[in-house]
Amino acid sequence: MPPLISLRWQDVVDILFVSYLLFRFYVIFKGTHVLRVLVAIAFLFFLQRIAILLGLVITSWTIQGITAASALIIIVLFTREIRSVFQTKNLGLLLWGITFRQKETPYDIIADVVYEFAKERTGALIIIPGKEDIRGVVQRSIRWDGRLSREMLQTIFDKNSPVHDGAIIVQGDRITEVSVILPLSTNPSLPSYFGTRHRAAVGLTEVTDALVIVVSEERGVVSVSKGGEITPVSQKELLIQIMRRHLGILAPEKEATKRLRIELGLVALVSVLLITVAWMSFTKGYDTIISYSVPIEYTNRPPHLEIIETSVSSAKIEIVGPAPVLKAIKPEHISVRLDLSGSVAGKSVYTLTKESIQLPPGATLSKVVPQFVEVYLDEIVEKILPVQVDWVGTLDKELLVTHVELDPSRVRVFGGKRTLEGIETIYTEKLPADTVTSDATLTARIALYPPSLRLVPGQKDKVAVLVKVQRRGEKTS
Amino acid sequence: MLHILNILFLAGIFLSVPCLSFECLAEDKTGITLAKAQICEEVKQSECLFPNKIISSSKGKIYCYSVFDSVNNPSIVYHRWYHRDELVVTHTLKIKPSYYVATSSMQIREKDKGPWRVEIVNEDGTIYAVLRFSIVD
Repeated sequence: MPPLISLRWQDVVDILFVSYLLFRFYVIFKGTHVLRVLVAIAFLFFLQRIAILLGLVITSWTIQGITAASALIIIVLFTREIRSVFQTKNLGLLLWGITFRQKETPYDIIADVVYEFAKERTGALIIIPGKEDIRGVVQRSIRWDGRLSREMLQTIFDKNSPVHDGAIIVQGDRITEVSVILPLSTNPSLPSYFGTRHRAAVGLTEVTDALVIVVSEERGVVSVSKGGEITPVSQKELLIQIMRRHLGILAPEKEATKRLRIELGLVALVSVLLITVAWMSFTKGYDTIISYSVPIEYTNRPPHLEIIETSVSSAKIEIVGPAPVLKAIKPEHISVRLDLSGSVAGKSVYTLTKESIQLPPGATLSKVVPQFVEVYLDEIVEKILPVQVDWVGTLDKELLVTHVELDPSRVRVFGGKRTLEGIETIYTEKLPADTVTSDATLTARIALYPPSLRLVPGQKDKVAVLVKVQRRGEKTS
Repeated sequence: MLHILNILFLAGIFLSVPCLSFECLAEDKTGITLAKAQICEEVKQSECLFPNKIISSSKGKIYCYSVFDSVNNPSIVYHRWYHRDELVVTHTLKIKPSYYVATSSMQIREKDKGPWRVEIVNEDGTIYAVLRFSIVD
């Protein structure tokens, strides 16, 4: 396990960023089933890490498979919740906002009015949505969007009102929809005296986290449905308490804010702790070693010298570090540079030190092979050399090539002094003799070998080849 | 005056003719000059037959044929055979006033394909000429 002191700034950013993501997940999905499932997946993940640590191969594979499948299941099961999160028009709320849920809802007015309705035997169905989006569940509603008041509730549920049938949806302090048709529950355990209104209330709460208040027209009873359950509530105070709990307003506002801050602080701390543990679990393989073959770059070569030969062209670099860091490294992230400043002509031996090897952060040099590199440098000189054609292929057996003349016949080349000492001729690229059938002028490109040789600027890299032929048996001129 | 210039011009052309078939590089201090030099597929009775610059490896043997002028005293010349700048063989050849043709030969094999040159050199190392040719399939 790497000591914490060796944490890179990237690691800190890594941990904090993912911790914030986790924290946002909590804030966004708080109170929904999604969060519970996510906690279960997190538990599975840690279980899998433990299985790996203990060497339980099959267990870790199985848990990994379940975790992967769970991610897919979440998307399928919680499509509605996920969609409601991403459909939010306030991006700030999604990324960094923290809301105090519907604290403005005038629950006391609702409570007063529903008990008045009960006395008057006026039926009513009031939906107070939770975190989940209910739009995909309800049908045929009429857009209302009016501020909730005693008078408005009485107007809507008046028997003569054209919109008194169906439910209303209360969002914050506004009635957003009226005449809402809800799915009916098919639960056989519901009492037989429950009419359509009650079955509709249960039907909605079976599939969402909404709270539905029902006022029975026949019996004059106020009931509350949540989580697929329906309970009669005889006291107004109890109904207020149920609504406050549903809206997350269990304490006075200041106290609630304080509690929420403490809760979020704890969640933030737990997020950081969890991600730190996960990070450490990932980076446990600090003894991971990876080997790369990296080309050696030669820098600061004195301008009058040229590299003629090197004992190696690449070095084998063994690096050690956390497995995720090493997995992210590509060979191009590593460079091996030899500083040739101050070099003189001839053979020199250089040592590949830590300073000559540049590694990405988080990786440590373990070994380098070879440790020594021989570099043969030579003074650059100019030499005029004759050019000769490098013929290949087959010449027509009946032909004799009596004359070959090149233009230019000589070229000026740059190259290492010692290299050029052993070179007396510059050859062309291979020219097929098969193409020679009569007197002709061909073109051939100059082939410089070794590649360190260069033509002096201004020289053409091609030569014209004048060929004169004679048939066998013809008199030689 | 114009007549003299014409004579000098013609003399220049005449003297430069032998150098058209090979690279004339230097003159000998002893006065010996190279009159003719060729790579031949065959030499018979001191005559070059089938001079060629692209020779098939199937020929088996090739010749470097050189003829000298102004050979007043016995002398030594060398034929140095190079395959791609690598000296393969040096032939030491005697020339004298009565026999002023120097011929060397070389067996060619499959691996000898590629560009060749033969340097014709005197005892002092002065290069009379360089003959270039290729051995192909």
